[in-house]
Amino acid sequence: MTAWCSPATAATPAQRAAIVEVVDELTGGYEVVNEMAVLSADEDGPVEELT
Amino acid sequence: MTRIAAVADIHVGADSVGRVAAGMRHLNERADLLLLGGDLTRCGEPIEAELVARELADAGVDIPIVAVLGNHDHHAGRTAEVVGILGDAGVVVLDGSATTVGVGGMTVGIAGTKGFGGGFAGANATAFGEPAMKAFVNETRREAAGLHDALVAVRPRADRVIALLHYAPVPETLRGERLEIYPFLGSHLLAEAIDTAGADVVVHGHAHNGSERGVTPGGIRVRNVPQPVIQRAYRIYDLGEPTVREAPVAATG
Repeated sequence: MTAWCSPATAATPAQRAAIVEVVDELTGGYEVVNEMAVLSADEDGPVEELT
Repeated sequence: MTRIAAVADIHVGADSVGRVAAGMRHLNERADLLLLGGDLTRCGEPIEAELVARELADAGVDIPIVAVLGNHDHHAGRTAEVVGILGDAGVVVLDGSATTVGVGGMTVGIAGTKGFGGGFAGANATAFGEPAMKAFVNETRREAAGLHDALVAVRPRADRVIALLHYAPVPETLRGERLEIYPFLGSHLLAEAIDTAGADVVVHGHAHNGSERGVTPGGIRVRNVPQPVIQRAYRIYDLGEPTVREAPVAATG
């Protein structure tokens, strides 16, 4: 077993909880955006001639 | 003047109802043909395909619509149902196949396939080693061969030929994406197929953080049209006036 997949290097439940707490603190007040959400439509745009 | 509208990666899901329709309300007045470059749905669920069909119907789109599927449309493993639903809505879905559309006084041929990854010359996967790697590369080869054959088949019947893909055939339209993920965004084998068979323009999607414009090594224009790239509901390209074809003159003498 290699070092990077050793259980010894995985976060413990307590560590994971601490990470979640820090992330919540850092992202507080920000809206989580789904990057796959379709952009609002803007129909107008230049026409490119491919002739 | 023949205008084609093109967009990819609309990723329709339950929370995007109404957004696609809103952007395509006046499409009929602006274009003669709509191309959809894959990832029409978020996860390839039939209910999402129903939503795509409803969006197009709500927008009143009645110009021809030609599409290919993307990787997201494959995720649920229900592509047959997705294609059937889109077909019932009047969308021609290509998969290593071609169709022709009479628009603006000319016949436009569209050869399409999803495509696949593998990377680009000098930094590409090869069919060597593990069966999984061979399968990966062979999937791209199969897609490229299907596209090549579709282009060859449609070319004699069309004034202009468009190659429609989801994955990218050239690295130029990936500019803006992380270099490390290029092999998962496209393959040079697709460009080889296009350059060998011939086309007037290539339209693809998939590279949300990429660039719109590129060109194949053979000089064919490539346009990457995910909504995050084009920043509008669709892009319009003008294919110009129909070419006057002269009948071959019999040799005398």
